[in-house]
Amino acid sequence: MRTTNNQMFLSVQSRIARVEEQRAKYLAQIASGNRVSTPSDDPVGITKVMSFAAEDVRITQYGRNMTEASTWLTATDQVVTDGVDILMRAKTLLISTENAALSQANRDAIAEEMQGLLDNLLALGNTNNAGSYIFGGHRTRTVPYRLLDGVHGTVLAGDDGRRNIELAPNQLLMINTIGGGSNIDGREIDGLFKQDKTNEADARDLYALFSRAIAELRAGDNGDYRASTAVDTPVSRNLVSGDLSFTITAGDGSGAVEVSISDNPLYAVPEAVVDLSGATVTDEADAGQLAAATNAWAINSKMDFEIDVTGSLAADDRVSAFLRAEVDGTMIRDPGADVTLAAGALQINHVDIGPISLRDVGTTAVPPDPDPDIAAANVREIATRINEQSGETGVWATYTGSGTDYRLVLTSLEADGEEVSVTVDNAATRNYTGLGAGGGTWSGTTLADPSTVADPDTLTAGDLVINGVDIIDPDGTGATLTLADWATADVESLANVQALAAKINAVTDRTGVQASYTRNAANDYKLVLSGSADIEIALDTTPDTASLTGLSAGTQNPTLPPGAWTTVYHPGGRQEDSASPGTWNYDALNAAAPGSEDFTVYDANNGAVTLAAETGFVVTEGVSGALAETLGLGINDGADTWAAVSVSSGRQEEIQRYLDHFGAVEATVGARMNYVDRTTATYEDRSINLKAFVSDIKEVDITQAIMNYNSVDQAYQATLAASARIFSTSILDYLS
Amino acid sequence: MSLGLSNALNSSRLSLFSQQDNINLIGNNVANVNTPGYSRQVGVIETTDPLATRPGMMGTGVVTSRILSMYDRFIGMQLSLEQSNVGQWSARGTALLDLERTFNEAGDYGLQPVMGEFWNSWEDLANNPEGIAQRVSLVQSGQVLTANINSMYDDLTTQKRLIGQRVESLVDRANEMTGQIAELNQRISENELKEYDANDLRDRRNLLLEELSEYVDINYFENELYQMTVLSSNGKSLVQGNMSYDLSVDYDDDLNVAVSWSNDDTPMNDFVNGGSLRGLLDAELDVNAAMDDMSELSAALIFNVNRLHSQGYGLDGTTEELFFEHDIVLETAALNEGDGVLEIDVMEGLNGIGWDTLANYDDFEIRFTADYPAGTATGNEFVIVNTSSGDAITADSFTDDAVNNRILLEFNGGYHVQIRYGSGTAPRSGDLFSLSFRENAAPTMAVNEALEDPAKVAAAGDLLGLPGDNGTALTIGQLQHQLTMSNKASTFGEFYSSVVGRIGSLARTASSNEDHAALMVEELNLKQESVSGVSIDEEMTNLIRFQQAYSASARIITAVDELMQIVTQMV
Repeated sequence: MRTTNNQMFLSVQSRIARVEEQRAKYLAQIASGNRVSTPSDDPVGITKVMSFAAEDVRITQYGRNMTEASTWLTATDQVVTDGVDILMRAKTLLISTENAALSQANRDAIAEEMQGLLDNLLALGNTNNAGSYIFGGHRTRTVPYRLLDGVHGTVLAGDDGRRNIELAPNQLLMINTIGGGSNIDGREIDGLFKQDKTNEADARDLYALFSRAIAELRAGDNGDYRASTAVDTPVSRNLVSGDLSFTITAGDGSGAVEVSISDNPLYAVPEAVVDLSGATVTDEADAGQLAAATNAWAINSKMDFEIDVTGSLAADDRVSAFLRAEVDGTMIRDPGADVTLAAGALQINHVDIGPISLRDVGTTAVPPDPDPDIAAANVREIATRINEQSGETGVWATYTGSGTDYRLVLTSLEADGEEVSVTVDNAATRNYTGLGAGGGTWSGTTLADPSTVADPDTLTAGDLVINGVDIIDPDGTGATLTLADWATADVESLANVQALAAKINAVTDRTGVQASYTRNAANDYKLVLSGSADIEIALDTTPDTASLTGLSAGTQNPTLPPGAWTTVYHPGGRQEDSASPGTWNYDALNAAAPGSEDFTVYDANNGAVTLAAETGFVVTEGVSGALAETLGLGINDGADTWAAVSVSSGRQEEIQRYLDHFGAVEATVGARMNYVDRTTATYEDRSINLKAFVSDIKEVDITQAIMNYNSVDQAYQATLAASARIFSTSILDYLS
Repeated sequence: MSLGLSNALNSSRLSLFSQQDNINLIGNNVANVNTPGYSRQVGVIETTDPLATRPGMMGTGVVTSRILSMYDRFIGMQLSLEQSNVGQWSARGTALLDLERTFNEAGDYGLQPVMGEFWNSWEDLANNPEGIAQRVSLVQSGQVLTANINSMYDDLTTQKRLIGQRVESLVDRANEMTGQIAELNQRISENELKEYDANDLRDRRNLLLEELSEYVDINYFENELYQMTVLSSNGKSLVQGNMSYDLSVDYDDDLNVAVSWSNDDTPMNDFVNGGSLRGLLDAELDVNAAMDDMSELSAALIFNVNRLHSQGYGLDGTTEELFFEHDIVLETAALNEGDGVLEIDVMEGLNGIGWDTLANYDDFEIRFTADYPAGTATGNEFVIVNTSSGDAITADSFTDDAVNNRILLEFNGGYHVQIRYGSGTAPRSGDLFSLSFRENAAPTMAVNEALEDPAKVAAAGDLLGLPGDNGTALTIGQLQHQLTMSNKASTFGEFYSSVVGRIGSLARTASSNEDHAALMVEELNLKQESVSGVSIDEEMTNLIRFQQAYSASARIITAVDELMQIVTQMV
């Protein structure tokens, strides 16, 4: 074949270029340390590198998850360990009280130490891990345990929400402790310090146990202590189709709690989340909606009221409610300009509520028009400030109203209605917050003697005398009571019966009789009298008076025969069987269809709650007693005492049960911690392996690359040398 | 009869001319040793016609009758073929390099780690469902993710535009070359019909053909007039005699390059089988595929995250909030007879129920199969088709709102779709409306602005679980393990790495094909060079040969001259 000059140049050029390209490639590999620097360098390898790298990123996250799990579990473990120590000490202390020769001073000393242990326990229950209360379930920002009083143990504000973290793809580990390892089956909301409540006799918690033991030690009751049950904690039951229909309405001004189905919603729903008025539960879907709506409302209003629905509601799904007592409701006014109420301007139960910022709502006369949003924001702001301090004040705030007209409603967290003291520093603050200085207390009535109140007239002195006291003109000042003609308006008949009841109640301290009323139908109200002993009623001879008041002259005994009584509930939802007073029967009411006479009033004085058609939940068979309990309306009046137990046996046995419970929890937590530790170790190994895999594919073996480079470099040198030789001779050299 | 001395003188004279011609040719060859496309020229030396003499036929001398251009036409053809392979793969390879740079996951920065961070942020939130800081950081990593996807898609759009520009300039250059070839055809034909070999012109034409075949795959042959006919692979003439026909470039609705034969607007995209033009068209398809993949990935991300997020609850109790937002593309077919216009809005109460019908982020069409009788419509006048799956779907409610001149369709919990029309111009049979969730997903996806308020980021799966419930955050974090892509066959990460892997292997194939074709071109060039190249050694040797022949002829003339003098002295 002919060989031409260009041919030689071209082939030398391309050979040198090829070798140079190789040289450059190896040089770049050595310099960057990477074998793969673009996807095309190794398309298969790159997908592996990507998946390994992605897994490594995930593992880094799992490491963080693991740390989170560890801190929770370690905190829980510490609580359990400390708890066991406290319980052991408490047990030792209680055993020491078995000595009958123990002096009261010694017993007081023991009580003192027990009190210290109780405080420690409470702190443990409220352990907070990085801003989250670990025993609160999902309610991690609310103090879970709060002591109610010396008898009733605690209120558990938490729920049974699980906190899960991901340990591996699609593998979750529960890191918080709800309930415990001992008795999970059949257990309801239940923390580490709460025992199984499905069994009524055990419905008590560790704090209550301690509290009672302390009280008993102080009382000097040696070896024979009475344990009363505490049922004012939230309880749950299953609601079934048709169980209840209700709305929640405002107090009637007497400070009593009413639960009624009237058309007036008590609580305007903030931010229009839901309107509860007229809501009727007729099937599961309704119940589900109502529950969800109520919850939305409860959360928005920050009121401690909730109905819990798990999943979609079926007939047997669990619904629980928790309702507090209301003490006060007042008007909020427009500040007229943006103002900030200074610190100290408002104190509730001697706790400073702190600065409150309020904005001008506007007026109708001058633009801007009144802004309902701002009015709502103002009342929400006040409520929020109050609620922030509720741990100290024991008072929750919520509000009612709509548009620009709101009422603040203070709610005592103490179920037995302690006085709420409100201090405001000046008139402005009072107007803006709607709170007046002073306090509110509970009042209420029970008992019933339904009679029809007839068409109105004016009653004068002597027309109505109860237990010797002139009701119409008790002080001889010539007072009269004019009743409106209600021929057309139901409201007027309501006003009449209210006025009558008010008159009677104004002199309760003299007569010993309290009045209330119930609604039968439009224009048909029944006056209800209650008293501790027989009630003697005297009416003047004018027949009108009897029909106007619905009362007839004579002596009436509160212990009326069955049927004439309305139903009275005692704390814990127990119902006294009117047929056999003193015995408790859950089913007596349930056996009889609820009559429209049934009536609901809550009375702090004797702790009774009565349910009625209009003013309570519409109660159908099988649920009424439990419903009051469900709503937390019952309180312990101390009357339902239980068999005596001794410190040495009963209390110690209970403590032992908690010790077992703690042991079980400790085992569970320990197992989880081991799991986390093991997984962490696995991931650390895996991460190292992954990095090695990635490096294998992506990075260059430097030795290999240098060897490659050297051999290519030699080839390069050789090519150059050979090329030089090719070009070195030409025929031209030999021509002269 | 015998020939006279003058004959010897004459033949030597001819020899001198002939040797001189050849020395001229050697001079020209040496001068053009480095000229690209130059073919070595060789003189054809022939004896002149002999004369009959008594001893027999007597030669009368020599003549350089023709000048041959040493060029192997068959190697030339092969070279054209391989040139067009080089052109194809190098053009595609260059574009794929850009594409690869967009999808470069080999470095430390890519979409994969950003996606990883996004999922990790959800898990961080799951670990601290009460946290505001975690929410802020989640929203930020969501913004980083969407910004990355947006900018990747923008890169792809830019690349697509650049490819279009390169096609335009390439076609311009090809048109220029076919013009030049036509012109050369004219001149070669004029020369060669007069029996002159137009070697240098042919060299130039060959060079142009070689370059042209690097751009477009062509077939060519010479006709009886020595004119080169150049055809595209589907037989459209690019050069016919002294005429050339241009290609032209246009863009279709999706901004895809459309090359056509300008003579009768025949679309050429599918008939270009080689050359850089094919490479660029393929590269555009590669970019389109990458864009489709990004759209599919984004739409799936948006759909899955939104579906879960809208069912969760924010710290402030808000729900039914979307996490990502993006533009939905609505189109009303241009040929519609009615004047209906399609509108869509996100319904209040987006609660996850309708997610499986309309809102699974496919593409949909509403086709009218009958004229729409406003006011008396039954809802059977049209069909709604998921064009991605081909399935027909049904709206959850249909309202024939003739009062407001509109057709209202509701998809539970998802979207309101309505077609508004003018009075008396309701949609007619055959009218078509389409909406695409996917099309603009990648370039427009962004984190919902409402989530600038971090409390609205949902971590809880249950309103009652606030604030400690982490159900929604957990399930969203776990989306990374779910088989969400490619008909539930792969995860987001797997899908994306398969895209990157595919682009990598395309780039690798392109570069190895280019290398291979370049090697072939080199081989063929060497072969052609072996035939048509100038060897200086050879030329020098030839020079000596002709030089000696020249001297010898001159010597003969001297000898004849002496003989002539002898003769004259005899007189």
